[in-house]
Amino acid sequence: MTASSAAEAVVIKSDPFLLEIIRNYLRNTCREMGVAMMRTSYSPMFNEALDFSCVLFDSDLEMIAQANFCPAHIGATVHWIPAAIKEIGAENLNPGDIIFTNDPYRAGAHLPEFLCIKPFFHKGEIKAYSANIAHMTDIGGMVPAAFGDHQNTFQEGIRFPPLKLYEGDTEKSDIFRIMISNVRTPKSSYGDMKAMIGSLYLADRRLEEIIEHYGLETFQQCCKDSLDVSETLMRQQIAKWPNGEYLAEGIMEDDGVVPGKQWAIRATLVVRDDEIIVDYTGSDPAEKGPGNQSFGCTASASYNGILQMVEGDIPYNGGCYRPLTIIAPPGTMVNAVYPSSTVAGNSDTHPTSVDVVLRAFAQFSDRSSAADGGTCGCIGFGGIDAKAGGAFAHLHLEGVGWGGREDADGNDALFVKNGNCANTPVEVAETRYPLINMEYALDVNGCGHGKHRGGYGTRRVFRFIGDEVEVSAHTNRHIVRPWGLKGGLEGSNTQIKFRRNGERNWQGAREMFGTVSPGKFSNLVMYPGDEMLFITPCGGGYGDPLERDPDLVRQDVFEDDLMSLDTAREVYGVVLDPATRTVDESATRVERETRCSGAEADLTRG
Amino acid sequence: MTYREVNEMNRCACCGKLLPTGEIRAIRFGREVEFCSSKCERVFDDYKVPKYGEGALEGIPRVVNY
Repeated sequence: MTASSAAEAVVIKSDPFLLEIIRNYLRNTCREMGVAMMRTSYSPMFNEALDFSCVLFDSDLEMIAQANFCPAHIGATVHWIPAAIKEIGAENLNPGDIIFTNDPYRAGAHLPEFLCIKPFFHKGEIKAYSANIAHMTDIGGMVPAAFGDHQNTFQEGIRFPPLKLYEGDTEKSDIFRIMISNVRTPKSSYGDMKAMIGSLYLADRRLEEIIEHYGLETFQQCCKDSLDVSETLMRQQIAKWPNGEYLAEGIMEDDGVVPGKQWAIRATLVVRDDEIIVDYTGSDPAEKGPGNQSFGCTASASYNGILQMVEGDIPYNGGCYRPLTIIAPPGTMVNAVYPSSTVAGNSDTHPTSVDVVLRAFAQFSDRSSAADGGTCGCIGFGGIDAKAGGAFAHLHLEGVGWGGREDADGNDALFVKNGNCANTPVEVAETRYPLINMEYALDVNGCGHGKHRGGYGTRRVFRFIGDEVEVSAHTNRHIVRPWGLKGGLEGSNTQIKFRRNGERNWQGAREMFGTVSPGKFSNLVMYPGDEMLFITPCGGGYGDPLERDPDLVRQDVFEDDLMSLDTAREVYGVVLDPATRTVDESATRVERETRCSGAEADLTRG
Repeated sequence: MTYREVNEMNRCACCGKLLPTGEIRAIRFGREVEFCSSKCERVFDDYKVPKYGEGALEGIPRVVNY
């Protein structure tokens, strides 16, 4: 299909009903692969957080199906899987082989993301590939669970170029032995890897069944048509957007290493008829710290932002990505080069990159949202503990407030846009690891006010009960707040504070431990009874607060306890009667008429 | 044993992606360059070059043979 074919009708050779059946069968196979991983894995990152994705590719190395797991992986799969297969050489693959790698520089995601690929053979030839990417809790390196203030990939952990993990259905035990002897979680890491492998064998069976049922030729034609349909629908969508170049910027507040320095991500969204280029030229050089994105990560962020803007239902597969080009200059923080650290690029730079793309769209579309909390809340706990069975590592993820949008308030306490991950339930974490949760609630002290306000973040207090627990973190938005859109106000900041056993006052990491950053640090030691406070941001607001429906303000105050009477009046111009718990409509009208609505926000800068 | 580290591999002159294997070779601004796809080659010529001139190759390392 050519770049100028947007206006063309979708021409397919397959029976359209059969096309839908096979397309949904393949997508459901990806879902089933994920469920198998969830049910058979060992670590909470797999079976609670669901930080993995499952995909199918055709023999031409185009993605023919994906399930809705982790958006952060999707762009990486599009580029990483073909690169890994080409590097090994499809001609060198045999039935029962499995390719494995975690190299972020080869268009991967970040070092904790492990990729496994299995060629599917039918009558002696490769007809498809199944693959999954999953986040391993620990990969060795200088901190438990991988997130801290690293300065290069060697501090992050062990790196594997593409290699064969299985040959002829037989595991290469030497590789497993190297892998598990380099991590703090050998048993669960091995179990998680086997869950990934099992999921690939499940895909093999499903592919064999569908081909047996409909025949190879029909299967392949449907795959081809499905890709073409998605491409055409995507081009038709892009053609509805106005041609132009839309520049947007977002700021990463610090890197945990260099004091006081900020980094800018700059993206120019180029709409050209039925194609889009996301050009990151002008983004700052790579950080010294770990917040650099790999190419795959930057591609994921770009695809994520674009797909959020799509109206209607376009089946997600490789066809969607054909009209999209990502330009990420090597050596910048959106295309890190060896040996730059990338571990936090996929967690904390990634959501800001998505929001930068959305901010570019906001210059012509009302579907865009204000910035979300901009951090995955990655806090690693680790050390040696009898309860955990020796060395342990646990990666804590936390929800944030999302940005308000044209038709609704932002979501509360939800994982950032790039992850789609769940938190680890309190009961699971407390059963396995030497910590307990003293508080866990929405944090309603900060708010990104707006016609549609930002969602609220969370407030959590951990108390440590192990002899020594090492705490490391890479969290964002301690300094720079989530931006508002179209007159909406900024959201709130992240906070991490500590207090020793018996103390009343909280102290930040910089004050208590002398770290460079308030939210990016490694191996702070907590003792029994010490506590840690963790507050995640509220998303930015969308639209002028004075345009918010007064009844929604009334609900926020009287029904949900989210804001005070004073805030309702001062920010929203809504006068409430506490006796009747109703809106004083005439007083509200007067209040709002006396206010200025405020200047239009600069849509390009974050 | 042979092993080539990633900083010794080529990158697409358009998108900047690492290319562990040989892809499309071409000459631009008197330099040998490599593209990951025909799409990237086209975008390089009709977007990057008009916009950035020779700066279109900024950050792209010299092509090596492997």
